[in-house]
Amino acid sequence: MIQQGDVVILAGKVKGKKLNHLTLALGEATGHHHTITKGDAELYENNGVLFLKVNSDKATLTHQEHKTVEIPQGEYKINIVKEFDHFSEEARNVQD
Amino acid sequence: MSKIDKLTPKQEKGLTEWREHCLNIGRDTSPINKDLTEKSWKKFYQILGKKEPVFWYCQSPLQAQIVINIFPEIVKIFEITDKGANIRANIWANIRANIWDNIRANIRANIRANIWANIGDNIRANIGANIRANIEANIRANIGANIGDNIGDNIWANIGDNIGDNIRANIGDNIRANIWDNIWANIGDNIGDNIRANIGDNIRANIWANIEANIRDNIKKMKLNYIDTYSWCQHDIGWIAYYKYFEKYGLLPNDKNFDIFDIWHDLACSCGWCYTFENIIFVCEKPCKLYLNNQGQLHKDGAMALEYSDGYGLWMLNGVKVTQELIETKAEDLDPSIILKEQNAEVRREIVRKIGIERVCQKLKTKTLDIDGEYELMLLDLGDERQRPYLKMRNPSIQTYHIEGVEPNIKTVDEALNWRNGTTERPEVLT
Repeated sequence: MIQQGDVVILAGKVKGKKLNHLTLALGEATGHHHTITKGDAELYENNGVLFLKVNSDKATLTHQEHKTVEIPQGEYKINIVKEFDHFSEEARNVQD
Repeated sequence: MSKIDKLTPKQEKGLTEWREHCLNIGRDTSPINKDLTEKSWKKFYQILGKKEPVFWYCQSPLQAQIVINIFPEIVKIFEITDKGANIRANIWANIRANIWDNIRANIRANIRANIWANIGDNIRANIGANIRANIEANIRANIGANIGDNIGDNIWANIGDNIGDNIRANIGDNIRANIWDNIWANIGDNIGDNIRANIGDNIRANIWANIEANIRDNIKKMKLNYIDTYSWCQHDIGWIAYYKYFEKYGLLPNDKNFDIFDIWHDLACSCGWCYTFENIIFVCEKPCKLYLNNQGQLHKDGAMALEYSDGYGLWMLNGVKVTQELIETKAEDLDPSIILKEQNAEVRREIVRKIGIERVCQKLKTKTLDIDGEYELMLLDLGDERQRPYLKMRNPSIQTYHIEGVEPNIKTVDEALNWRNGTTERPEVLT
């Protein structure tokens, strides 16, 4: 398992529809984004969950503040970390 | 001709030299160079076979959005003033004062009506009825057709498609044919990507998002439209710097493509954002104040991080958009409990950073439930007689603290991380 900030990358079979971008998460307050910037990779979406397929030996995941991460060839499920809002009493993905 | 596979010492030095030079262009807060701006745009319009444009100067992109939206009405007034005495400057001052004050007061519902009423009063006070009628009949149809009605004929796409993409493709082919990939990538990393990240992501994107939000959420209620542009001029420097490096440092010969490219470079050096239309270009000033942290992110505690001369600007801490109140309130006067209701994690991080993690814990923490390495599970006082668990953690990349709520029944750091990450696995790599 690999984690870059709010993005958790777990081994998992790719499914869903192929997307035409490689941004795993986008920050609202900063415009910062977790994006594959090097390597051959494909991003898929299935029922709101993202899946990543790395075709090359490795792909580079970058973010403006977090250190760069190398993701080895393989198929992955992308989780966005959760937090609990005790005022609305509901869980939600962390928004940045 | 063999491809270039090694940079000369001068070219190598130029990577940082040129990068710093271009970053300074993107961050420049000096006054607009009107001569160079107009000369450059006229060249572009000539290339496109377009009529020479007139120029309308705005203090900020947000002001430009408003002016463009009401421009058909302004044109009528503007032409009236040309026929009258020296009212042109007064009219503009009046428009600016009345529009901008209202906009800054957060866009009251009747702004449009107010502007028209103010301008109308001014006309009625200064222009006789017979002249008004005459001008209405003679000017409205004429100028309206040439400027007012054509305002919708935005040619930014024309400029982008006909000049930008074409030139970029030509120079790109030239680069690929003559320079080996490793050198190309090196230049891309050092010049293009770096400046794009510093200027494009940190500055341009923030202004764009802020303006769009202002228009979309506020002004749109008055049925004004968001006006798009691809002419960011000063903030286009990222891609300009990249291509121009090849010519400037002798990797590629100067040719007609670079001559055209130089027009863009001149615009980047001379002005802020531009909105290009048939016959008219709205040119914005550059920001007059710009503050950055040592990471190159927009940052200023106590004032706007980026400000235009009309007062429009961005309130930002370490690259994160926050409220004016957070910026202007002294850390010791801020109530730490505001972090509990803030939904955005990055904003929350900046609140913690400003107030200080110690004071946040001192004010809100009632008990430590568990500690594991850099993680601490704490019970925080919600201020309504409830105490709920929050996970305190340190960002391993930038060493700042985050506080995030976890499910009420969680008792340990381990349970908190399992729930937060959606897995019982622990990261082999964490940044």
